[in-house]
Amino acid sequence: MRSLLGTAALAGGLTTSLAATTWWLLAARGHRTESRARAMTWGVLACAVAACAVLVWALVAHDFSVRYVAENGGRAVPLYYTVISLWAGLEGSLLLWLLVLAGYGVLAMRVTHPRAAGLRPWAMAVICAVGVFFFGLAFFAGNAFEVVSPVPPDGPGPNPLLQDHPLMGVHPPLLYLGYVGLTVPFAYAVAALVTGQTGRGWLFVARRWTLFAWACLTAGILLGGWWSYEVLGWGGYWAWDPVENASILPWFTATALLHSVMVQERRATLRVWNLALAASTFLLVVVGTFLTRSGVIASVHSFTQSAIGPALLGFLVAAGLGVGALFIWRADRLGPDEPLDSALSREAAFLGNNVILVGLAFTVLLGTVFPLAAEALNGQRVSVGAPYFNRMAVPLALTLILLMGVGPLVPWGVADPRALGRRLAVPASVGLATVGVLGLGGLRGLGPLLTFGLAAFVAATIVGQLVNGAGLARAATGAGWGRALVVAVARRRRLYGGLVVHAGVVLAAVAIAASSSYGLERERRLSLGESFAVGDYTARLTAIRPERTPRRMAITAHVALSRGGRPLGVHAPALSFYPAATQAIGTPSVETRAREDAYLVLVSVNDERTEATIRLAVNPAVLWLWVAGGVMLAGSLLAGWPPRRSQPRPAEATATAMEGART
Amino acid sequence: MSRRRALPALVALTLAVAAVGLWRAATAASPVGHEARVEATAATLRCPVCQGLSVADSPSKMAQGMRSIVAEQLAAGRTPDQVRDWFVGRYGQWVLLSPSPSGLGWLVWLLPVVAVTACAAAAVHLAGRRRGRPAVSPEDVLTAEKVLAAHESRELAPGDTRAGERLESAIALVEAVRHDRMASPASHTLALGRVAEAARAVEAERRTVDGPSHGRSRPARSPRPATTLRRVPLRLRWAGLTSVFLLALVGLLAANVAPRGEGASPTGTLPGQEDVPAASGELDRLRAEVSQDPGDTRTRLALIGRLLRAGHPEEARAHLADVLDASPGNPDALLLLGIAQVQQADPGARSTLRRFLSVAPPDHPGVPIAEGLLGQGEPR
Amino acid sequence: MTTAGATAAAPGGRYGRRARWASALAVGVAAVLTATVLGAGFGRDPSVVDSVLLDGPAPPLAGPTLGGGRFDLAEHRGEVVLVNVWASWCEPCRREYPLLAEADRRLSPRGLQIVGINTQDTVAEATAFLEEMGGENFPNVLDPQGRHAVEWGTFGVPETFVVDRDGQLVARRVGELPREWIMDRVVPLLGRR
Repeated sequence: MRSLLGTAALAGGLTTSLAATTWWLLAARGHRTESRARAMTWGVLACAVAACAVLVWALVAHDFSVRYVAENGGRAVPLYYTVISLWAGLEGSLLLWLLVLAGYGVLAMRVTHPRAAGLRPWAMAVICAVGVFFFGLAFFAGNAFEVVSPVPPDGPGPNPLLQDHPLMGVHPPLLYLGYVGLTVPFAYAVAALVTGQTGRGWLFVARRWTLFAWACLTAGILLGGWWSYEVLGWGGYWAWDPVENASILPWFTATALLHSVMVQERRATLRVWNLALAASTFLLVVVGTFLTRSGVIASVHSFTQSAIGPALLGFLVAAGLGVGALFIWRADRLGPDEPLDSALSREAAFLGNNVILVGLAFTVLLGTVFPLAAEALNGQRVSVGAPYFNRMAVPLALTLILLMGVGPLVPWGVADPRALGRRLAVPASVGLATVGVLGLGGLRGLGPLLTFGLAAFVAATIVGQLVNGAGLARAATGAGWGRALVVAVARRRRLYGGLVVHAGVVLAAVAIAASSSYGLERERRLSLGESFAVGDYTARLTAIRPERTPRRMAITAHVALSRGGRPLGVHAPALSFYPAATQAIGTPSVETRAREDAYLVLVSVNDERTEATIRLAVNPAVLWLWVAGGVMLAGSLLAGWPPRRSQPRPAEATATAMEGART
Repeated sequence: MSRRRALPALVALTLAVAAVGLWRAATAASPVGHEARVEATAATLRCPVCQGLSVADSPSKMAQGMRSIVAEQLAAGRTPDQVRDWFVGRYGQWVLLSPSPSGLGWLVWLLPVVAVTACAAAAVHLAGRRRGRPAVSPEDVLTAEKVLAAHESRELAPGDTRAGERLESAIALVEAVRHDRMASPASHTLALGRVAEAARAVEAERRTVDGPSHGRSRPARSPRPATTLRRVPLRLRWAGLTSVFLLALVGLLAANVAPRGEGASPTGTLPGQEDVPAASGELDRLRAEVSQDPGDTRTRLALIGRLLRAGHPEEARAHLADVLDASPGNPDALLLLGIAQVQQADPGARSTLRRFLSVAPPDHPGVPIAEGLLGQGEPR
Repeated sequence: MTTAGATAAAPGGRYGRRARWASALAVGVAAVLTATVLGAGFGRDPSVVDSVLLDGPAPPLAGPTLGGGRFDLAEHRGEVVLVNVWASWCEPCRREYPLLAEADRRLSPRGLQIVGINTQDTVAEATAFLEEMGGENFPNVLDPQGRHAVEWGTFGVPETFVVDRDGQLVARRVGELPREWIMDRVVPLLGRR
């Protein structure tokens, strides 16, 4: 029965999204169908909610007659992991995708900007059309609700990697919120192209949606790193795995878009560029979805092969062709770009930022699909991994950090080089002094040293700007420094929010440079009672305990950790054996400290359970990477929080009145 | 004086320390010791039983075995490249995490460089393709101030047209420049010029659009899309008129005070400067007017503005002293005095400009100018 | 990326017919390229990589065996040797072992030598595994560190290689062996005795 209900929900979703698309299109062409289209958009959301709810219900009720439950459910799985099994498999994750998309559809319908009112029906039609495709995919290619016969008595449970950490309940939904949210700016870009209103209108809406999706994507990516660090047990948080790359590709272009929007707002230029960025961000989302869901690339997180792959590829190509055709059709309304006044201006700095970010996106995309391309071209299997990405991305990233310091200090229009020099003098000396002191202090490696120097430089520029802003506010209001800072920030939230995000990025860069360059690691086979040291840390094996539950068999090594003779408590890295998995899954245990993490992994245990191989890694500054994520989120919240409603300007009033007149 | 000499020394010292630090870090970078070399080599090899992890990172047994092979071969005196070749002989190019630049492999190394270079070239083209900065006439500044005033009082409704967008972005640019205390006065003038230009374009568009209406494809085109310049109140016109002079002046001054750009001489060409010779007649007319009616402060300020623009700060200051005697808190006079002092490199300029800022209403058009001039001084 | 041409080809705002066609062509080429490159991955297992050792001389294989003896591949020149890489913890190995035992029983009289590489395993567990399977049928070279497995360029277990009478590596199979594979790839190499 649940199969029937679920399939009905999917079929309903397919038809309502089709109807919604049609009626939005008609509404966009001036017919009186908008109220129906609105109702249908709500209907799409209702169907998506229903489909997810039925699947969760089936999972919780252990209804193994439903294929997805038979493949991903299990009686021994705890309730929490049963519920989040919704996104443990390919078909269920499609339902989550649909839920998020439908939610965004309703939000995009309700939250809009008077200046983009004319674009909304078109944008909604695009969002609903994307919904049609994904409902079709869930219905025809990957129906989670197929009936299984005979009904198995139990299921294997979700992928062991996914039932090992509570974070799996948060990471995928956040990632999807980011990933799918980028559909909205794309929809508005398409609407702008279709209507020919390629001016600023679409950006009024697209900017805020991009910022929101960007923040979610940032959080999702960092949580993914955290999961990789806390669960996968190889000691790192980023492996340049194809799926990780897929998540960061749209992040690069969305970041570029968030910056280049500001140029168009003030210079009426970069029209094509911004539209193209919004479009390619969405196309990269589809590429990423394809890479993770088609099974063409082997990866930690990827799902198995099915008909979904070719369908997604078809969608990608169709979307690319459609967008390309729109650009060509509207070419007359896209140019020409006004030249900038000076190569030394904020505009030019933003252009530089865009070049670097797009360069990063291109490099990562090329590296990710190159193995496929090489195989298609000459049948040779090659790999592109961390050494390649690090070598290519680090110089670009360092340049980006430099621009992050200089950019916000360069004035709009025309900068006076001497005045700019004076403004940069103090931060530059801070950066140079950092490089000098750390270098003479015996720090190894050019890359990390440059990172630290640049980070100090950028941090100094940010502090300088905050002090300046607070000083002005203090002079104006006569308040104390703290109050003045609040006033200054509240007055220009977009600027200071951006600076806070920059501070987070810089902190992340420092944490990444430190942890990837100065980690120590050693592996040792220990008998009970033996100990070994890595850096300041000493690990002593005190006990090996097996633990058997219906769900898994786990062996835990009890390791007493101490730092410089001071005990830090007993840690329990474990090896878990799941019935469904051939290889043991390691669960690391991490002692997190401000300076560095001590990272313990149980590699193996002998049969007699008297000896264990323990890997102890000392990873500096990893904590600060997670802190940086929080800072970046806080910054985007500050920048993107909707302003208090003010009296609509006549322009807006006119637009609203016109909208009313047309519907 | 001693500070003047200390500064370059300090800069040189910082640079030297940084350079030495970089050099030390770079030379200490090459991993020494067997273990580090094994680790570095293993990091470039792909673990066959894992998903994309390197032999150095993988905890699997297979990777442990491969690490011990790497360690043995390195200990036997083979180079990392020879070790990698040994693995390639068994696993093919697949085992290298960093594709070798042979065969098709060079593409993956070269294409990003080409792409970034091409993008950078396009950006440089866009940023560097300067169409000689447009001359901004006092009339432009007047128009711009009117438009900005209308914008402030929310009476401006540029349509969703190309010109409307230009106008909006130009206004946003002016606001951005005014918010930025570092923005050069020239940027301000240029931005105002843009506003005027765009406003004219909007007007022109309105005239053509008022005729035959366009098709359905442009629904957002407002029936009354144009700027309502005519509705700008009279007093704002006067405010604008006053600011015209000030801004034109400052534009001129800024270029003289802060020369910039390739080979710009200290007396480089300034927007509007070409009509300075013609202005000498105007100057005489104003002089005559002032001598007839010394109490007309407005005319006097106009004369002072002209004098400053023509490069007669001494005479201007004499007039300013009169005006300020009569009304010590006149913000316009204070601003002009500040400008005159800047022209004469008078150290009192800063305090005058600060005083101007303290008495001027926050929306006074001279505020950004004064802030800009203050910003040009030594760092605070 | 497909729109880069659009900006470049817009001199003065008018967008010529030729520029349009060129852009359309570029978009089309990009789409075809994307489809080919990304579509090339369908219908194959991304984790299976062709061995570069195939059709070359087989790597050396010599060492102590699980039963306490010694095995050296070089001494078996002139015989067809089937090399099977396995471990006791590997589920497919367990499933395919009966087939190997049967092949050993029926084909060794026709000149087939089967040898196992017991990789990344412990002697105790491997012995227990063989006992469960009814005793050791053919020699199994010990490879606790996975060194031999690396030497043979294996990607996992089980993996099976065939070395012909001239010592050339002529076939390789990743994953569980089907009966047909032995019929198709091994039997034709053997004599008709």
